[in-house]
Amino acid sequence: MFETFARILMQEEAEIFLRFEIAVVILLSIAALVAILARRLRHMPYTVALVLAGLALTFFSPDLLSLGENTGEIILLILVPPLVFEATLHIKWQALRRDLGPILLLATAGSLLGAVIVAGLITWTLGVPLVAAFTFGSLIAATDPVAVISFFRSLGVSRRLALLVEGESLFNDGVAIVLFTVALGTAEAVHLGVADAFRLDAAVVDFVRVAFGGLFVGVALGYLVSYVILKNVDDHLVETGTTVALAFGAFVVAEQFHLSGILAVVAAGIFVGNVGSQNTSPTTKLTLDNFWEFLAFTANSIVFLLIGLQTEIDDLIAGIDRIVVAIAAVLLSRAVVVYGLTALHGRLQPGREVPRPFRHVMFWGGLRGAISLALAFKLTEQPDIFGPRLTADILVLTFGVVLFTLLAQATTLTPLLSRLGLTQQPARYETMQRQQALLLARQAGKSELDRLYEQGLLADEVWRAMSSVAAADINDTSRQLLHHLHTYSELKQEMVLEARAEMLKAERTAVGEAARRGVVSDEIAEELFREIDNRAAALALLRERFGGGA
Amino acid sequence: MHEVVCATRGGQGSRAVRQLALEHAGKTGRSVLFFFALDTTIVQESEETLHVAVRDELEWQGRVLLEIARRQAEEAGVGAKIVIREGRFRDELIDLLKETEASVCLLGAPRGTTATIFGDDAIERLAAEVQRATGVPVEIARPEDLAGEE
Repeated sequence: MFETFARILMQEEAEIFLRFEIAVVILLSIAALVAILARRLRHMPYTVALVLAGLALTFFSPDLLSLGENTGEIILLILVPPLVFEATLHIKWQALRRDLGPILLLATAGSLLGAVIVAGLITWTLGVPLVAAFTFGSLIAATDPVAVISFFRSLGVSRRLALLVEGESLFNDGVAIVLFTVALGTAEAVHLGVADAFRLDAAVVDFVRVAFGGLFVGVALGYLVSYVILKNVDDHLVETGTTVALAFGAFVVAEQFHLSGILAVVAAGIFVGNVGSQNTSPTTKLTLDNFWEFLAFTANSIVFLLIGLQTEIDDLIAGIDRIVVAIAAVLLSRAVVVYGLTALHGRLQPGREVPRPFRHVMFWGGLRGAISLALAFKLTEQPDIFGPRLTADILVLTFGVVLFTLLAQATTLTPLLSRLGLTQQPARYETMQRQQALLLARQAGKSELDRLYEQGLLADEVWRAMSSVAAADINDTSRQLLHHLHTYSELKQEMVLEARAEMLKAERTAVGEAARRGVVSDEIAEELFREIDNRAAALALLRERFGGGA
Repeated sequence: MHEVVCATRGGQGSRAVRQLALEHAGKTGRSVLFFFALDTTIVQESEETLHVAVRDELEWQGRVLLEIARRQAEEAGVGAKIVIREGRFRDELIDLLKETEASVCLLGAPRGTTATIFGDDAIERLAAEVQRATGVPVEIARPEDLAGEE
């Protein structure tokens, strides 16, 4: 009897896994197709294209990936940690430290202020109870930079602007979750009739404990992995595997102690990206980069397809008036937060002000995504707190705002960047790059031609003729490049800066190699690494000053 | 011999100012002194831990840019020397002009307003200021004046 029951259970589980596996295979196939299409549509971010694909699929196959009440948990526990970790791996501490002031101000005070403004407006206009409105304000405070950052990279937008947007988003994810937890706790207390137990001072202390505790867990585990594993193990597969364990482990350990899992992942990622990866070989670095790029692509694809797939179009249409109000509230709060706090920061740290055009991009580029939806889904796991109707309302408002930011804001960001003059790759710079690439390609072609001739695969006469034509092409391209550089003399400066950056990278690799072979001690290598890193940071600063690409 | 002092930083006006310097030198038979200021205001604005690195990188960049200029002069058959000074651009240029008894000083103007040291009419004001302080005529070269420029 027991064996039969166990067999049935196992069969059911196997079916669930099989269904899940099929769904993942279908999703990844769709993601690949969408990625190919998105490449052709230059102004359409890949993530937005995924959402649209997901929305389209709901018409054909509404239950393609029905995760039911676990959607929030799946996004938060499985998809968000690798996304956050990958994003933090590339953040350089030197650069982050320079703009830590505005980033932390926006992530902490900004998230709180934004949540309060949204809550106030939603309560005032829609009559939503204040605690429920604050819960919505908290979950919608988390900005998602994925769609924006991909644009920044392709358009050559200032690294400082990218860092400000990405940095704020990474930290405010953690802050928004903590605010959401506090709001939900308060709502639960109200629901249970013990609201008197809520104390603001205790909530603030709790907020600090959860946030800093999460950061501490991330730094501690990041330190452990960086100095114990990455420094002493010379196996790129083991090292890469360890970073996966770290990304998920930091999240789980922090959450186990009721600390911020997201902030733990942020801290761990920054630590490994700045310290751990310096202790590894070039092979490991390459493997790490490729692996995490792939994992982030996969997680992103699933998240944004899920957003589309989980959207209930009928509910959105039914609640359109309330959604419009929520969008207005979110935009207004974002404007107050970005313009107000960056102005305040400008007064506190003169000389490091956030430039005005950056502020416009930070305002309009404040998209909402996976975290907001995951938190809204979490509400549906406890429908009793606000009641099923209000819970469903919050979910609809969240979907409405997320979709608006992705479909309206993300798609209009390129024209905004151009209008503000922030796309720093003018035609003359692109021409230089094209000519450089063409020169490299033609030289490679000529080398291959010579190799074929040396191997006796080409007749002497044929080789001479082809070689002569190829050499003329190379000379022609080289002349065009020189003429272009002659015309736009500032491009030479850009060329110097770029080549210098490559030289510093090569110097760093050489020092790392020397240390690995035992030619120099670890201490001396560390010292040289620091020196080279400082020079690279200085170079980045100069490129920013003298306009990279301009 | 009175020299033509040519201040360059590798920006948009650098080709124009170098060309003007070579033309001056060619006409008068004088040599050119290419000048690069290692601007300490940029160093001071960077965070303290980066001061040394920013200074070193600026110097490296200056050496490369001046070497480009020197070679260009060499190809044109004009005698050229290079000098890198550390300090505020304006102050160092004035000191240099006083020390070298220069016959003319040439400054390059950026194409737009993107330059960080000069901007808008700042170049004209700087030129007037330097001329007043040293008595050396200061000329401004613009990229738009060159054939082939946009």
